[in-house]
Amino acid sequence: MHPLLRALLGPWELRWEVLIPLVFFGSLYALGWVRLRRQSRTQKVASQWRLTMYYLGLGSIALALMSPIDWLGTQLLTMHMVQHKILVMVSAPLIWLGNPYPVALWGLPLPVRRALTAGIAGDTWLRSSLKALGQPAICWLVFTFTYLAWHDPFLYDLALRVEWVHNLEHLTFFLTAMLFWWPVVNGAPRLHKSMPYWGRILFVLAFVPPNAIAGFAIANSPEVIYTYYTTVPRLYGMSALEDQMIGGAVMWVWSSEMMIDVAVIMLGVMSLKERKRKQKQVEAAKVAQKTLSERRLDRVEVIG
Amino acid sequence: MTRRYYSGRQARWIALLLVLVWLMIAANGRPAAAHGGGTPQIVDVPAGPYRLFAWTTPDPWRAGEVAHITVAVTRVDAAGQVFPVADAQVTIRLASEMQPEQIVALSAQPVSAVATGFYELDYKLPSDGLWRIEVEARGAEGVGVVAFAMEVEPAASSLRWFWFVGALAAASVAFGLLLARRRRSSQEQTVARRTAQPSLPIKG
Repeated sequence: MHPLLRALLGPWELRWEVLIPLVFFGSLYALGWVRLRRQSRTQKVASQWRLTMYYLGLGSIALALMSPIDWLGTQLLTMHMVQHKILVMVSAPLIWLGNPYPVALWGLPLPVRRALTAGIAGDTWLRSSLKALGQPAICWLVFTFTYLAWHDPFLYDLALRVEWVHNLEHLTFFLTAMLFWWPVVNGAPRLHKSMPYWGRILFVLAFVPPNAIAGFAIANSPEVIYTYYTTVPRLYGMSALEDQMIGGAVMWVWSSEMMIDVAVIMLGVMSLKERKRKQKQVEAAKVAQKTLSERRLDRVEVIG
Repeated sequence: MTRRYYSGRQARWIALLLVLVWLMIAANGRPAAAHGGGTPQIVDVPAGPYRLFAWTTPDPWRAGEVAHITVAVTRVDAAGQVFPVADAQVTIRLASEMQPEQIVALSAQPVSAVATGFYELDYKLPSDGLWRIEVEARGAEGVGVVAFAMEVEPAASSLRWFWFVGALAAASVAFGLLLARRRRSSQEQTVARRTAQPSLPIKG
C-alpha cells in the first residue's frame, strides 16, 4: 500500500478544541430539529434532508481537523490544501444548507432564544453589524481577501510553525467561508433582500479568477514558495516542488470547479423556477379563458 | 399521541447516532498533544545510520515555560527512498551552559500512530541562558547523535497579562460608551425631527 494511503487510513486524533464545539452545535441542532418536528412533520425548516446536510457539514469539519489529513497537512502542501478546501468548499455550504439558525435556535432554552431573537429582530447593534457584514459585496471581499492573504508565504509558513496561528488560519477560513456562502445559499437570518439567481451565479464565478491565478502561480512556481515544507522529511514519495505543483493544482482546479458546479446548479434551479412560473402563467391564462368563454356562453343562453 | 411517539423515536435515533459517532471517534482516536509544526532546528542531518530532523516550540523558549521538542527519525535506502523509523528509542539530553555538569536526559515518546517516525518531548525549562540539546536515536540499524543550541530567554513578566486585561477592559468600556453615545444622539435626532415637523399641517 502507498504510504500516503496508509497514513490516510490511520486513526483519528481527538482534538478537544474541535470536538467540543462540534458536539455542542450538533446537539443544539438535534434538539431544535426534534422540537420543530414535534410541531409539524411536514414543515420545511427542519426537514430530513436539511438534517443530513447539517451533519454532513459537521462531519466534514471533523474529517478536516481530526482525521490524518490534519497531520499530513503539516507534511505535505497537497494535504494542507485538501484540508482547506474541505473547510471552505464543503463544510461551510453544507452547514448553511442545514438551515442552522432557526433550527439551532429552537434547541436553546426559551430565555436564551428570546434574547437572541430580540437581538437580531430588533433595532440593535447586533442586527446592524450583521446586516453590514452580510452585504454580498462585503461577504465576497472578506472571504476572498482572507483566503488569498493566508496564502502569502510568510503567513502560511508562520501558520505551520506556530500552532495557534494554524488554528486561527483554519478558524478564519471557515468563518469567512460561512460569510461567503451566506448570500449564495440564502440562509437565515435573512437580513437583506435575497440575491437573484443570476446575481448568485456572478457572485460565485467572480471568485474563480483570483483563486485560479493564485493556484496557477503556486503550481507553476519554479521554486518552493512555502519553505517550511523543505524542512520536513519527504516520506510520501514526492519532492517539495512536486508536492507544491499538486497542491497548487488542487487549489486552482478544485475551487474553480466547485464554483462552476455551483453556478451550473444555480442555472438549473433558475430555469426550473422559470419553467414553473411559465407553467403557472399558462394555467392561469387557461383558467381565465375558460371563465371568459363560460361567461359568454351564459350570456348567449340568456339572450337566446 | 401518535405525533409524540414519532418525535420521541426520532429523538432517540438522533441521540443514538450522536453517541455512536462519539464512540467511533473515541474508540479510534487518541488525544492529540500537538498536531505538528514548530521552528525547524535541524533538517535532514546525517546521524549514524539515520537522518534526523528536530523542531521546537514555542518561539522563543523562556525560563519557567514548557518547551516542546519534536524529532523525526528517518533512514534513506540505496535508491534514495526515505523511510520513517517507527521503532527507534529517542533520548534527548538537555544541558544548560551555566551548569554543564547537570544534564537532564529524557526519553521522547512517539507523536501518534499517523506520525510514524516522529517523537516528542515536553520539558519545563528551569533557567535562562544558552542550552545544548543533544538528540540520540537508537534503533536496529545503530545509533545516531546530533546536537543543537537554544537560547532560553528570561521568564516573561506577569505584568504583560495585567496590561492585556487592562487594555481589553478599556476597549470594552470605550465600545460601551460609543454605543451609548450613538443611541443618545439618534434619540435626540428623532425628538428634534418630531419637534421640527408637526405631524398635521396647520391650515390658516
